[in-house]
Amino acid sequence: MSRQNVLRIKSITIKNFRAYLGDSGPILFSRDINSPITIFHGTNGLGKTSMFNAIHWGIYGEEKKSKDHKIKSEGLVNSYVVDTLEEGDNEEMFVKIQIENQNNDLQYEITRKILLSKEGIGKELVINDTVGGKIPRSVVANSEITFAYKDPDSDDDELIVTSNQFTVSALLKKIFPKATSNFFLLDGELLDEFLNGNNVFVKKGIEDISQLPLLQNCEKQIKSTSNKVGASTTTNRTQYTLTQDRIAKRETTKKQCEANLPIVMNEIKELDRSLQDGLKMILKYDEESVRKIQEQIESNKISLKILEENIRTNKKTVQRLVFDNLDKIVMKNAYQSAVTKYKQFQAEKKLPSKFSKDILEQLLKEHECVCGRNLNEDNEAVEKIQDMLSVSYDSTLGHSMNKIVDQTTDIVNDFENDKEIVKEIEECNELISKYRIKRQDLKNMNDDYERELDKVDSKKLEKIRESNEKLSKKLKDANNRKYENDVILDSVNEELVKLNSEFDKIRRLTIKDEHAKNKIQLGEYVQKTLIKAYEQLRKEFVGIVKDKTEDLFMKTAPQAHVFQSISIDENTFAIEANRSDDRDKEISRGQAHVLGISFINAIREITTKNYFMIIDSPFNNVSQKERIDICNQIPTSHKNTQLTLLVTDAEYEADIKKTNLPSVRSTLEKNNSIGCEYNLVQKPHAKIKSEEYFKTNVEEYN
Amino acid sequence: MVVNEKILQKVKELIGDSAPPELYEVFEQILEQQAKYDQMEKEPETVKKFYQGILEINSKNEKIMNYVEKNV
Repeated sequence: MSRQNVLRIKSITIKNFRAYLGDSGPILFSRDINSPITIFHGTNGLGKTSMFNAIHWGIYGEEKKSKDHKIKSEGLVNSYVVDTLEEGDNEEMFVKIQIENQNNDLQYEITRKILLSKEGIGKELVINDTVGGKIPRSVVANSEITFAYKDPDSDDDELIVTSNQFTVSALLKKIFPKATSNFFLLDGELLDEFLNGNNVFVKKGIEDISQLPLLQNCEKQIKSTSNKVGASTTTNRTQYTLTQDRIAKRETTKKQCEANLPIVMNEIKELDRSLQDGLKMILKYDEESVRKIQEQIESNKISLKILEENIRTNKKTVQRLVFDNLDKIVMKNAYQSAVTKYKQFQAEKKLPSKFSKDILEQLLKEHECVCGRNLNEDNEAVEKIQDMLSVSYDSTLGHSMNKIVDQTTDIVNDFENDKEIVKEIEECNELISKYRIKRQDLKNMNDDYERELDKVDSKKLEKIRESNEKLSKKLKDANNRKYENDVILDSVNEELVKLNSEFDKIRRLTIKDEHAKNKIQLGEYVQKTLIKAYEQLRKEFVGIVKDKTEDLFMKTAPQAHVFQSISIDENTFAIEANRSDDRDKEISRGQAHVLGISFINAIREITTKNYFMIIDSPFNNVSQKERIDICNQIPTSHKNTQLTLLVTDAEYEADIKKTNLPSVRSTLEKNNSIGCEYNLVQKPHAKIKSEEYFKTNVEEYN
Repeated sequence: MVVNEKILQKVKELIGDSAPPELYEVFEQILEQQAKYDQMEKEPETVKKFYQGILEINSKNEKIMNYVEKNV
């Protein structure tokens, strides 16, 4: 954008605002386009949100975020200042913000103050609206504001200073429309506002920031001027002004109807969504569904019993088969083992074993019979015995072994031929394992059903039913309102066509002055062109924002590949990321965060002002990986924008050793993105409420 | 005062290339002046006079009026 005004904070000075005791002096913000980030980091409770609120309060006179009632009761002024104020003492609290443009020319200086004076000794605490909390009744608080600005009509560098509260408030509203605050003072915890499109500020903010109302304002002014020309030159003033009034009234009604339409449509959409959610819950957990689940559990239990019976029957069959054929089965194994052994011995040439024979032969050689008789002199007997031994050995060992082998082979073959038994056993075993799997599945299914039933809370269901009844009524009302709105709009449009043609005729016949006619004609032309420009640009702007959001989101979002596009609702400006797969998975916190930031940055494409951006808790609920991804993309996602981040030490400095992820700080430092860095510290870290206990120091980080 | 360039481009596109440059200047003046009024508080009388002046002067411009007559 060649004609875009960059607005960036030069410095902020804080005195006695919440955690900041004393005068901080000017805290400078980064104005380096290459290192546009200013960091404020500290542990929780040390004033990050106070810094954010100080800027918001400085501009709008109110805080954006108040954490809880405790803080609210403490008020805007530092507690120590209020507590130690003596009778007759005066003290002040102020926030001073200096804002400059891209050429380092100071454009605005806002100084918002609260002056305190103690006019008594009363310590009774009362709520004070100026301070926004409780202070002693004896303390008087007055607010003051000074605004210095550069006159847009003048080239003079000198700023115009005004302290009139009404003038300042009106000027600030124009420069920083409240509706646009969402685009430069961002709360990371509330980024979702951009996703659901419910926030009217978002819608109005986008329109304001794009300058579209400028076209409408010009059109309004030109119309009023040209109408006056007609009214002052007509020869039938009564008829002229009467018709003019009638047209004006119809146009007001038309505008109201047109403005109502997106509101009522959004209401219908929201009510319908809530109703559907309620219906889903009811359908899921209503009595009928519960009964169905219970029936399913019972039916599963019956199936389980049948399965158990089947398993038992098959087990019995297997047992019977094994028992009936036990001998064969046992023998088979024994015979098979003997045959294997025999073959092995044969191969190793261990058969027949000569051990026994050798022993006996040895004994014979020593001429001693096994009975102890001396055989020395009876060689014949020795030989006979030897022969007998050989015969006996051969027949018992050799022959017997062959016999055993034959018998074994017969039995094994016999058993193996009886394949029916083996098959039957195998089949039974297969059935048993199938039944077991099925049994486990049914058990798991029933466990799931029972867990589901545990969740059902009948009271909650009753509440949902009641709420749905109310929602249905509201939805009916909203639909009726929409119908009525449509009817009125149609009839008003019809009437306007007639009235305008009537008015044209009156104008032609009653305005004799040619110059006046020309003025009216020119006014009409300008008016029509501005209306057309508004209508077309609004549509085009939505398209531009959509394309730019999509472009930035796809470039910078973690796991962006799971998305294929971004869509934006033309009426509400609600944005949505569309997944490329069919999975109904919700967008992650990190992705939603990047989507919100991409959207805000895309808005800058259609604006004339490139506002600074301050984000409190930018990494809230975002995973470390996503934080690093976001930090790496900052040079792309925040081009030309001054960015200030208020982060906790944990978010900022922690690295994840397990996953080898660096810290946010080291990532930003690596990318050279940090221009200024401040550490919010409090000394001492003591529990005693000393002066320093109330004081947060903003220390420049070296 | 800065007017969104996209608004000026759109106006140019709508009045067409054949329009006299003076007509575009009418729009430019109106938009720039109104942007200033929108930004800073101005007396309603000042705003009124500006618009009256715009119609008064430019309705006497033949080039503008010839074009407007053909295109209204």
